[in-house]
Amino acid sequence: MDVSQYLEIFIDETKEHLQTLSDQLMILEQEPENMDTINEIFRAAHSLKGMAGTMGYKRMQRLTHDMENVFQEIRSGNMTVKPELVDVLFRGLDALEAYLANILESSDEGTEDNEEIINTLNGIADAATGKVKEEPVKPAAGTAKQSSVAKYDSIQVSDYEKNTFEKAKAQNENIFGITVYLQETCILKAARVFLVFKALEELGEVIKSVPDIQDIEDEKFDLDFSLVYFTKETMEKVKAAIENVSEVHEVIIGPFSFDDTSGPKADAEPKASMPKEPEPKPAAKPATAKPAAAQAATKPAAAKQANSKKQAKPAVGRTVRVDIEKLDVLMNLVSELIIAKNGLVSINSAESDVKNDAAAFNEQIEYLESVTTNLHESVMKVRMVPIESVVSRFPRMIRDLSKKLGKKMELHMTGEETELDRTVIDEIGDPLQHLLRNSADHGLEANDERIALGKEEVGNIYLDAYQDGNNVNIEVRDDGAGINIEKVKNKAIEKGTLTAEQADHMTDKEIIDLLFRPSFSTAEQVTDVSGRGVGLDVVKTKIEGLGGNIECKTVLGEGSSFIIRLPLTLAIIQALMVELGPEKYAIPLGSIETIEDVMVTDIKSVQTKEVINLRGTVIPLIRLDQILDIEAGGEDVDILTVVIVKKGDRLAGLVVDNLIGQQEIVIKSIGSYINCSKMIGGATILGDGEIALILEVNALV
Amino acid sequence: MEDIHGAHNFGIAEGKQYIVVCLGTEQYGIDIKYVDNIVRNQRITRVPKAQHYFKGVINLRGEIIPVMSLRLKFGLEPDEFTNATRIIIIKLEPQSAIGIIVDEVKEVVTLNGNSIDKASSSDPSDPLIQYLSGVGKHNDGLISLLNISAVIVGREGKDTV
Repeated sequence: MDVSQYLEIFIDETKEHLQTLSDQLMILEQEPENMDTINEIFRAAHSLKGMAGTMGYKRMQRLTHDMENVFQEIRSGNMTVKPELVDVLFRGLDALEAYLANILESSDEGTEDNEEIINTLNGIADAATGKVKEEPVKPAAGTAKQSSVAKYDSIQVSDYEKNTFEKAKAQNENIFGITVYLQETCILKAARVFLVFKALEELGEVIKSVPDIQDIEDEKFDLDFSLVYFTKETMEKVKAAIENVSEVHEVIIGPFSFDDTSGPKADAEPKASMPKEPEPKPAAKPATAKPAAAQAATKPAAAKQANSKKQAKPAVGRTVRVDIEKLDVLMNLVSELIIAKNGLVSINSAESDVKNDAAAFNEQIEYLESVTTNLHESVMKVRMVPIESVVSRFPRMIRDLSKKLGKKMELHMTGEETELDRTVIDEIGDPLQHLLRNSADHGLEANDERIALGKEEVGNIYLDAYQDGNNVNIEVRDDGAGINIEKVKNKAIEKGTLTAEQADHMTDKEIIDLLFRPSFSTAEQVTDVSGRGVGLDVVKTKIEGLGGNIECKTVLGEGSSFIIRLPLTLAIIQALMVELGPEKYAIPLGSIETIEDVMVTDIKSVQTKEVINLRGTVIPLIRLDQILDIEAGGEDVDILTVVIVKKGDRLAGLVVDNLIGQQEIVIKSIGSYINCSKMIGGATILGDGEIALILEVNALV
Repeated sequence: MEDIHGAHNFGIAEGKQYIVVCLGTEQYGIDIKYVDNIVRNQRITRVPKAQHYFKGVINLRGEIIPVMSLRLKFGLEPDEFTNATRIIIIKLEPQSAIGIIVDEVKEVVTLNGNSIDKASSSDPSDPLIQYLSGVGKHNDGLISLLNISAVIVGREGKDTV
């Protein structure tokens, strides 16, 4: 039977069932006696088994069958839920997710049998039901650390490349082979590699990489990659440059001898030690009660899944599930649009007096306006997806981290129903995961330390999402140690990022902002200071790419919080149109606090900067005409029109010549060729065809 | 009919078509395959803090297109907008268009390989040389053929005014 047409449905439903399984297993771990949960899991496993069977995925079917069996026994009261069982079930879940990832990629489930998980499951079931069969307990196998091999030795070199090498040698350039291992915890691998390349290209030239650049960009590699590199610098300097990049586990560097390619050795070598793809880790690891081992075994599956997510998905397209009601609303609005159009047509053709025409015309315009506004809103809503689809995997992640780090911690989530644009949802997962890991790993203190400090033993991590005007805020918070600003400051001075004098003048906020600097986020160094800064630069870049920003607040000893602010809609916004000399600009309404008339005599000067005192708050003034190089046309006036804007909790006053009014504008890009500053966020076309530029308040304040 | 068809094919196979534009007294040729459109001078909205040779952006049927002054890019006198001034809309990639201001658009010519010489200059440090792909001969006149991607994405060299 050809079942390929059902593939998409299968994938969708499998995802839902797996999520249910994951959620319910989390509950089961807390409440092993909860019969509802057990039933729910049984049903999900049963449905999965049936679906996998229909689609011909035998391995998936077998695994779910055995999971179902176990729950059958639990349901009938023959056995109880033990922590070991939950661990095994979680591993089974990971294996199922790996199958799904394979199916997504190639519509084939792959060849992994997961024999070991099945055996363990059956072992537990048998042991519990009386059949004496001792669960095999073996010492935890060594952690799945990769052996650090200088893999660059096996890079193959073509004749053409050999020529290049010889030329370089003639110019006294050093040719190095480099193998870089990333840390296992590294999330944005491609970004890290990019940073490594960037660092290297400052000192020399990367000639060849294995795997090649394209594969690296697509994250089609494990945790290591190898390079051939030309440089005039010394080996130590190059090595230091790479190690300066965060989350690099190890760098192996040595002279690269390209002569190897000649003669029989070249033929023999690639076969013998061509570890382009790391040898498949033996997933069938002996079952142990040790959570660490379980953790290690789940790793490859999780990593595989993360990889496949980045790749093109030939099997299925990108879809959004839309509530049928939303579609009905859309359909209604389109009919109304047609009615409005017909109304205009009839006015045009009807022969009546001019005065009546104008009134009817205006009426139709108003009608049209309300229809288009509603239509816009509805279309945006169709694109909106609740944030739940991203954050639902986090409880599981925190559970695993908790076991791995040996710290007790709990994740509290609120606002999962907050909706965001689909494109933002797709991108926000990794940065959030990064922040949560940071909180769990470095933010929270160890349990005994917490008790000593008089805090409750279990550490708390909060993930709160909520709407704030035109923005959605996502807050990752912990009640851990907080960031020690003094230590960050000292480290910055030590590293040469700052001089001691500079540091003395900086506010705490500015010091914290250092953590987001790429140069600062070298994992090891910061970990022994404050435990923060791992990969925050990457997080920041990603968030800013989505048009948002990130801010960090911290109180020493009480915890820290990272607040991500994201725009709700991407394409259409409400804006205030203002005039500056002969030019028109749009200021997004979402960032405007108030509009004030300010007497020139009320302007004070603080450190040569103009400020005003507005109802007790000192607000800096920004003369837009000066910043934007607008020719001063107007004569001096006594009263200035000042638009007060906010960025986070900071305010600033923008001096404008005239206010035009509020308007709904469509944001358009002004292209990549023109090299305008960050102050211009785009452009929009006004009703008369004229262009107005949109001011990016975040860059101005 | 057959003949016309054949001749047409012949033209494409044997040579490239160029749009000939004027900047002052000089003639420049732009490969026609990059040209999306030629429009009359429009109202240009200035973009603050942009590169000096970008005059701003225009609205072309709802699309916002940055406009570059070829004169300023080449370090010549600033443009004087006349009735003959045109903006040539170039599309290097489907998604991003860019406009180039020229004094005048003259004609379309077909040049084959024989009538194109390599661009050379008595002064090798001439900054303009990086923007040229060759020099075409047509009706006793010389046409400097622009390397359009270098003009658009190329960094300003020594040609800053």
